Formats: sequence, C-alpha cells, structure tokens
Amino acid sequence: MRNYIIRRILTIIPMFFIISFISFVLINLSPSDPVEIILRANGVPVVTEELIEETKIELGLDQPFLVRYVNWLNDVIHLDFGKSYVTQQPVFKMISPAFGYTMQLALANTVVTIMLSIFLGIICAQFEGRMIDRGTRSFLFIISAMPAFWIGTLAIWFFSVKLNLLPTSGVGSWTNFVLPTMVMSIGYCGFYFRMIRNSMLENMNENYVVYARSCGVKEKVVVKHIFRNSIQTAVAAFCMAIPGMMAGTVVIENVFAWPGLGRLCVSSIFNRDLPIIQAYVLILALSYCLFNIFGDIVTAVLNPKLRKA
Amino acid sequence: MMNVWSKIKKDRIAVSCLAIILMIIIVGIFANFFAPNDPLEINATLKFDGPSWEYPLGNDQLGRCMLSRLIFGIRTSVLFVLVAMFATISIGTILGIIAGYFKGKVDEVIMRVCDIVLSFPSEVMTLAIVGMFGTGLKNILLACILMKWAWFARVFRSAVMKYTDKNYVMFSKASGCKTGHILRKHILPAIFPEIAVMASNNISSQILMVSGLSFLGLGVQAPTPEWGMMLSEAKDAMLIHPYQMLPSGIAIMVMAVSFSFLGDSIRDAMDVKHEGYALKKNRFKRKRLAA
Repeated sequence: MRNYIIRRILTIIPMFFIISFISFVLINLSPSDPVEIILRANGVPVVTEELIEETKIELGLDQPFLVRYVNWLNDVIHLDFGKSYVTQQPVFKMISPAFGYTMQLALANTVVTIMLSIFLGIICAQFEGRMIDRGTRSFLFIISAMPAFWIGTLAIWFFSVKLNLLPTSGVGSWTNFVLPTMVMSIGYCGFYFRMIRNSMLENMNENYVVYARSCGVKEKVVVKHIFRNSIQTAVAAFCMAIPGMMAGTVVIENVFAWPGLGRLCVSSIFNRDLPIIQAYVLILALSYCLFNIFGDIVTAVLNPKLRKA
Repeated sequence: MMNVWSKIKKDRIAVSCLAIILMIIIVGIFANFFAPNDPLEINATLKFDGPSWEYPLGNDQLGRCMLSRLIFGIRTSVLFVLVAMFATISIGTILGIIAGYFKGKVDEVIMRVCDIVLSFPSEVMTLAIVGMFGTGLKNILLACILMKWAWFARVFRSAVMKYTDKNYVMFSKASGCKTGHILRKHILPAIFPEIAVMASNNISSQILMVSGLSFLGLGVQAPTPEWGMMLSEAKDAMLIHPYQMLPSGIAIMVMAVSFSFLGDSIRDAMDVKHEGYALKKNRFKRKRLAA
C-alpha cells in the first residue's frame, strides 16, 4: 500500500515538467509579440525597432529557448510567475486572492453536489422505475443539457431581480454563494447521481444483499451495506470533480461577477496578458493532476483489489 | 446496422429528436431561404420590439430581427461544431486504428501523447489556446479538436484491439488481404457502433461549450449571429426586457437535449457496453457450471 502511494506521488515530478513545458511552449507559440504588448500597455506612444530590442534584452527574451525555460521554471518554483503586462504587478499577487475565491466556490459546489447526488441516487435506486425515479432522472437530464450561463442569468432575473431575495453578483456573505452553487451543482449532479444510482442498482442483486435480506436484516441496514459498496466508483469521480469544477467555474464566475481565476483569465485573454494565462494554465493543470492522484489513492484505500495493479 | 436502425425507428423519442436535429440542420444550411429578414440589418426604431408579423420573435437591442439571427446562428452554433466533431472523430479513429491494429512502438508513442493531452483539463486548455492565439470561432474549434482527439483515439484503440485477434480478421490476413482492405472492410465496421455512441454523446457537450465561450465573448465576434453571444447581449438588457433571453437559450437547450436523447437511444439500441459485459458474465457462469 505504501509503495503504491509513493509510486503514485512520484509520478507528479515528470508530470510537473511536462505541464510546465507545455504551458511555456504555448506562450512562445503566441503570434503576438510580448514586447509590443508590454510597450502598448504602458502607453508608449511610438514603438521603434530600437525600443523593442532594448526591452527584449531587458526582459531576457533574446536568450535561447531552453535557457529561458530553465530560468522561468526556476522562478516558478519560487512562486514567481513574472509581472503582468498590463498592471505591472507580480502575477502571484493577482492570482492568489482569485485562487482563494475559486477554491471557495469549487469546494462549496463539490460539497453540495456530493450531498445532493448521494441523496437523489439513493432515493432513485430505492424507487427504481416509479414516478419519483423517472421524474428526477428526466428533470436532471434536461437540466444538464441546459447551458449553465442561461440557467444562471434566468436565476439572477428570477431570484434577484423579480423576488429580490439574493444578491445578483459579487462576493461578501453566504448569500452570494447560493445562486452560483445552485446553478453549478445542479448541472454536475445529473452526472454523479446517475452514477450512484446505477452502481446501487447493480449491487442490489448481489449475493450478499440477498443473503442479508433472507437473514431478516432490517431494510435500513441493507441499504447501508449497498451504499458502502456502491460509493467506491463515485469517490474517485468526486475527487476528480474538484479540479473539474475549478476549471468549469469560468462561465459561472463571469455570469455572477465572481472575482475568481476564471474571470481573471478571461479578462487577461482580452488584454493579451500572457503571464497570467500561463500561470492559470500551470496552476489548474497541476491541481488537476494532484487531485487525480489523490483520487487514485483514495480509491486504492477503499478497494484493496486495485492496489496490486 | 439494420438491426440498430429498426430499433431506433421504434423509439419514439429518438425519432422525434432525429427529426428536430435534421430539421434544424436543413434550416441552417438554407438559412437565406428560411430567414424572414436580414440578420445584420439594424433598425434603431424597432429596438427591443415585441413579436410582430414582420418580426415573429421581436427585435434585439439594435432592432435586428431575432428569428433571422436565430436561424443564421444555426450555422455558427451547430453546423461548425458538427464539422469540428467530424474532424475530431476522423483523427481519433485513424490514430486509434493505427495504435490498436499495428501495436508495438507506434502504439506506445500515440498512447503516451494521448496521456499527456488527457492530463490537461480540456476547459483550461481551450482557454489557454484561445488566450494564446486570440479570440474567434476558428481558434475555439481548433482547441476542441486538439483536446478531444486523444479521448476518441484511446476508446477506439481498445475497441480495435478487441477485433484484431478475431478469426475472420486472422483469416483475411492469412489469405493475403491487404492491410488497408482489412482495416476498411473488417475493423472499421466493427468499431462503428462505438464511434456513433461517442460522437452523439459528445456533440451536445461540445455545443454547450462553444456557445459558452461565445457567451464570454471569446468565440464568434459581433455582428455574426451566434446563440451564445445573443444570450450575452440579451443578458445586458435583462432588467427591462427579460423576454430577450428566451429564444437563444431555448434554441441551445433544444439542440443539446435532442443530441443527448439521441445519443442515449443509440447507445441503448447498440448496447455496446452492456452486451460485452453480459457475454463475459455468461461465459464465466458456463465455466463455473462446467467445473
């Protein structure tokens, strides 16, 4: 078990190099010249060839590709992602509060999604084929096919404008969480709840359930057993849900003016602020990887059969 | 194949979804013929007008005909996504077949590249590519293709592997058939059900993603009509004209729901996963009985 965990954690190192290399290459593939963007953003009136050359040397852009990559990697390890082209502030200073906000939203979403999908999954598996099961399934199926930004704007209009119950956007109190969390988790729920429901249904016909029933074990206890066995597939998926949601909050953050990573990234795309986009890609890809490994370890702890693989 | 088609024909939901999709695609292709007005014509006097005979769905913030914009939006929101999907599937199928059929070093290389591509969350990479190369529908579709092919290649590879050792493939190999012939006549038809299921399940999420990015302003640029962007324009006028949000939102929803339902029906009709599972289970049982 320990070996498995260590082996799994060690895979982070090559992954880190691949991820960092790709995010570095992407910046260098960009057709727009960073020097020109910086000079324009700083309001330099006339951009001459000499000025471009000078700034290039100042930023170290005249060095060969690999040297720049190693230098950049060294900075990144020391949490220095460079300076924003537009505001001239360190990228780390801009990204870290946004990361916190996105994390808050992603965690709130994950908690609500897990609770909602477990609850609905159990209910629907218990009443398989009845009205409540079919109704919930078709409702969530249609909801998950609706664009989140549309549900979001409709929810803002209904709850905030028409009923004046909740704030339309921004952060501050717990009421700000209600709408974005509701809109996002209901979309994700459709996927996870079906997964739990199906694995519960599969487990229901297993021998141990028949045996427990025939022994006269109470229905509540039987459901508990089934649940414990069916949650395993869902746990790994839930671990993957956190980074997926961090990446998936982009649209919701923009709808609800949530000052998170996604909003920062989209505004940086409009400003062509490459260092921020680079840091965004690096951070999210890395956390995606970490949670992926975390999910694998949790699954291995829960299911001893997988450890040998 | 015929069997699947007759099964789908009996499924009323699937048939109506297929009809809706075909209808929307035809309307989109012949948009010039179906649209009542010019989608780009600005009419300042008709700003936010309600439905009328001339403008059946009313007018938007610039007085443009909503229905015409919706109809022309099919091209950007649906048809281009379908084209991108087709490209993704082609790349995925070709690489999947190469990896699964020839195995060895080629397989190793393709699969490692797939691993790297799949280790990046696709939403993030799409944003990254759009960020690097600039906004626009072309870059979004390019990002979709770049991020999705690996997923397809991997699924199709394992599908191909199931068939490479089948007797009829071995027989055609032994009787001297050319590799191209075997791939075309034996492997491709065998994995076709899997291709169809993967494609129909992916289209709706792809449509949602592209319209979402256009909603953020990263995709189609004004004034070209696109459903996601129409919604984002309508959102700005939410307080006074909430009705504006309905047409484009409903259009996206109808499209996504139809594709999802159709995908589910195709999967049920082909029963790709379940059949394999059931067969294995029976074989196991038989063995146990024999022992």
